[in-house]
Amino acid sequence: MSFLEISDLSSGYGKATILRNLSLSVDRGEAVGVLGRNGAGKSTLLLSIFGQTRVFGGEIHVAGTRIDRLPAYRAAHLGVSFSPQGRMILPNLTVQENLCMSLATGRKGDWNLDAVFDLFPILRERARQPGVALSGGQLQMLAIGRALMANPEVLVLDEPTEGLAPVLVDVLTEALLKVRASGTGILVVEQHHALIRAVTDRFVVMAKGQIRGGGDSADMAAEEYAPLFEL
Amino acid sequence: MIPTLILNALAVSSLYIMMASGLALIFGLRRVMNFGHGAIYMVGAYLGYTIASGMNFWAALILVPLIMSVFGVLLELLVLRPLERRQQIEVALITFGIGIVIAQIVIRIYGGTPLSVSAPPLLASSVKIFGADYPVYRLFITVIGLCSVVALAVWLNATRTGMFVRAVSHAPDVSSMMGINADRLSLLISTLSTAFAGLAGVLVGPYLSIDPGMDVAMIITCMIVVVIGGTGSIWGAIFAALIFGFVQTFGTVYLHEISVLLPYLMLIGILVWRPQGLNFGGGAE
Repeated sequence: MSFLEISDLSSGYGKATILRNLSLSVDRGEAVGVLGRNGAGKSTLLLSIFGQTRVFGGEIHVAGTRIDRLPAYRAAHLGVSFSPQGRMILPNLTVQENLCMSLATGRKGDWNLDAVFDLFPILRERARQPGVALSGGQLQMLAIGRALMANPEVLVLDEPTEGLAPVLVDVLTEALLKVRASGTGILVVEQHHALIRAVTDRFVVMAKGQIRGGGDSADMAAEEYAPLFEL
Repeated sequence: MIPTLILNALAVSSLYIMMASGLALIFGLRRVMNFGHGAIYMVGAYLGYTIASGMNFWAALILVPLIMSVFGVLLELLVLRPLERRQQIEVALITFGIGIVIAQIVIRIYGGTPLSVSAPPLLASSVKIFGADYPVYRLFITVIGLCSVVALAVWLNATRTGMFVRAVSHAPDVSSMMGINADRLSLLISTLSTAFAGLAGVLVGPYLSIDPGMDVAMIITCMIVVVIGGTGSIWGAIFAALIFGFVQTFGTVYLHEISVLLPYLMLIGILVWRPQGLNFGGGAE
């Protein structure tokens, strides 16, 4: 079984089913990109891992433990951590306190305050400021840094480049490559093909709550995958 | 006259602070208004009476909060946690019902006549403040109130657990995705909250009186304080408790005819001005 194993998952909100019989796995140290149009169910997929959806069927395993029936906070303890869409930085906590939220997982490893500050030096300068005092790019760095503080085996990111200027996309791409080099796996939902190609090993394309196909990220531009991106 | 009134207001505010901050903390974590909080305070006061008469006041001051913290554990494990997914109003009504039952049990045991506890000898004297005699015991209440606010502030702002509490109060979903276990924090907060209510109950004995209606009077005050403060805002609740103490104390003297109405007028006025309450930092949204 892979480190993160999603099998035959159907989930949604209230009575609405968004994901239908979806299976996806991510190994330790592996990087997977998820593409698809708005409304394809990409965010629902990630939120299901972190207990924010209603699971109707199927299973989610992290590190061999079935988590879809456990309290939401367990996922992060078992080694997947989340940089959510919209960053969800707490405005009433300082930058450093936001980062330290992940210490609740009790996971030890190479990622600590110093390592995150080395990755994103601007956060060191802003450490004592409230979370709201940051620009969009800095908020995204903080969200990624916060997730890294949990020392995950697989870092899960939802649209990290959303609303960011191209130069910042490059900065984030660099940072994610460093994260990969440290041995941490990545599962990233992203519209930016360039980031997926640079950072991930393989990609999948979602449409209407299902995975319609995928392949090696290096070959994303190949002719054979073109129909997938039309979905 | 005025200095005495200010000191009185501070003493009574201290009791309100101990009560309302506990309510606000539970509301922040669980989004539930614990209507049984007044009954917990009442149990604390009567237990304080028993222990103070059997042993002495100091023993009551230490033992009652400890005993009442067990009520907090029960509140969390038997009420808040199992009913976590129910609507807030349902849980609030259940706590209201439990409060009524507890208060009736207390009346069954102790009877309906008001009881009084005398201040311990060490605190029974008075001191001269601005030329007037002032009871040391009331100063003692103020000091305890001040110490508990400072302790709470340090705990919330300088410890990791306190930071987690602020995080969950503000954004429970994000906090759980980041790995924070709100259940464990809630157990701690419920325990703290009922222990503080017990402490307030012991302290009130020698100051005001211990009577069968004390739970209702206190819970109404606490509701007003918490709503004025902005539900779930701890600092808002503390500040509102101070305002309430002053309005009540000065109102009784200077606006005697309408003094009973003053808290409600204040509530209406503040809600018209700021519907979200005072709500400084860290409150619920």
